[in-house]
Amino acid sequence: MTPLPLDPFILGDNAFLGVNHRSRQEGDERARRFADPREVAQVCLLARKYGAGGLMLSSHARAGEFLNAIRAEPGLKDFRIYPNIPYIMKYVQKSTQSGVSGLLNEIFSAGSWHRQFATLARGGIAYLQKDFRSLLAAAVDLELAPYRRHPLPAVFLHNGLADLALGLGWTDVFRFWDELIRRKYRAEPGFGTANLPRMAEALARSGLKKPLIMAPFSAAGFHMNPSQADCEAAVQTGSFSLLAMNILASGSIAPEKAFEYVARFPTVKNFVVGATSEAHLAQNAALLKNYLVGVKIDQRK
Amino acid sequence: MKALVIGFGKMGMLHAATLRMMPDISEVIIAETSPLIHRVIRTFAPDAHIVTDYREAFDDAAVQCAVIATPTASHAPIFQTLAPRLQSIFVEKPFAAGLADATSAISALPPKGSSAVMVGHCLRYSPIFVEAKRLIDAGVVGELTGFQATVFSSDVLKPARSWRFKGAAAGGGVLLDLGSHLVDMTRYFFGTPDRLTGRIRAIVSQDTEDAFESEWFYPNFSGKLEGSWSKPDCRKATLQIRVMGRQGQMTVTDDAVEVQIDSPAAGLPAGKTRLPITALEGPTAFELAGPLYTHQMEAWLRAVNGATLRANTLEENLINLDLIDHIRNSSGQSVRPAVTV
Repeated sequence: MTPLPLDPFILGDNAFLGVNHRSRQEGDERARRFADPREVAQVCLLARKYGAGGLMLSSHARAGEFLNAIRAEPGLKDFRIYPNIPYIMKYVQKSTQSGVSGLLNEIFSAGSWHRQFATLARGGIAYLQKDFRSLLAAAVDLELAPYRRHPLPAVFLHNGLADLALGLGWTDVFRFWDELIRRKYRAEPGFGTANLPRMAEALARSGLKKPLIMAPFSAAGFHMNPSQADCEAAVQTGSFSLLAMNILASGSIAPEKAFEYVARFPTVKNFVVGATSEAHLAQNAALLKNYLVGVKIDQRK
Repeated sequence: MKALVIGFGKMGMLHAATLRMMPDISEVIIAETSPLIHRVIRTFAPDAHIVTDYREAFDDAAVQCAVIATPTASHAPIFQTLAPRLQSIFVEKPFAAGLADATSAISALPPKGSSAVMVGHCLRYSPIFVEAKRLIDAGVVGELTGFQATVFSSDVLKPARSWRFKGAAAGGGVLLDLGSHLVDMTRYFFGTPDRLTGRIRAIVSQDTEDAFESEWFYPNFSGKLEGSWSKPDCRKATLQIRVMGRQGQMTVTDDAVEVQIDSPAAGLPAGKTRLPITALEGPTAFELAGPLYTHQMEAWLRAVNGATLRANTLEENLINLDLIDHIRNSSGQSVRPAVTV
């Protein structure tokens, strides 16, 4: 089965979680507003009206609540979800609280596969390597469990983990992710990164054809490493599909300028855009339509 | 050259990945005692060079530098073992559990010859804090009248299991952990105080402090430091320094510098100016958990190659540890720091 096509306009979830790279205070204010998950569903409904086909959603503690609220909203029946997992802050905090060994113990001892693993580990059998892969696949299952009742065109490996694997040279992780997401979820495997050219090279070296990468791409150049020019050159090779994120650089550049910039790269056809007010959603939709020739968004007014 | 990373916890992982991306480094050898971590590494990186005891890497002449990213109480003994073999050492902050440990550790460095010892106070490589320091030095708020420096997190809301929260392995509590960042940054901004007071207290932990307070006195002003890792509702650790002066005030957090001044100063107009991280931060060779970690590693490797280290030096960190010892032990009494520049 072919994965569902990616939506051109995907709503970002940072605002719902209190993440704002420009201002923590603004982020906190937004988090308070979205304490009620029905507020999230209302913004999704507005985003749907202005052409967003889905929501990028990290597997943070409140993901289940948000998904329930979205399912309860009749106007969001076909609204797609793009999981971005794992929610890295959860694991950073857990590794701070329990240490990395403690965190690994926790990951590999939670869920129904615990007994099996414990038996294998005690027996010291020779196939331990294979078993760790199975256990990690089970951990991904657990992480994705709340998303299962939604259409999932793509599942992204969070940039915190993808870039860690990139830095350590653990390219097996990329092949593992690619195989798992395609086989088990019939979805497009995606890779988050703040190191676009290096990630594209590493995925190509891992044998992945035209991989889907989610990375910052903006006129401000924020988080475009090692340089904006290098990221632009990488995009122009057309060797991967880019889901452009942070195109408004957390509100530090004017939307007109932001869309004018991305429009210079015709191979970029998919965008994650965060907005929580109707005015901003309408503005972003209009700009997407004006600047991005060939990107069809479906506005349901 | 090859780099040895000792300890593959949260910070060891980050430094190993960052170092591996540096053009000067041909290989990163990981030293880790946990068999579970060995197995996970072997699963996804069968060719990774991993040893159980860091001393196993000593015979390899290509190993020219090492990172210590183990629990704090082990920093000093590991440093002491490493120093006769390697003088290019990056130690995750804090350098040691206290000044006495640090002093005995550095006695193992050869008396002659160069060394590149750096301590991982990564905020020194954040453009926000560098810009804030520039503005303070340029007199943006006029003559200083005081400051308030705080660091809060929600890491310990119930008794925790990690070594970080156990007095024996960590060598201390929040003062040594998050507090060492605050002490370093406050000293970076204002210098070493003439006198200080301090208090520590437990909130949920059994054998270490969960909160601290301190007041630092300078000839013409004073300021307060406060920290806790048992503060509810912090999505992540938050460090903030408010600087007050006769011409206005400045607030520094990890996402912005905000200045409110009566008249133009240091290139800023009168009124309120906000300099967000998005305006100050440029690209980096490799980004993992923020560009500051890469900038920090680059600075250290420049020092390994002979450049002068400009921040996070051993000398500075001896002062930091002396201040931390005083905060911990002063019981509210005013004391004078012993180590000066």
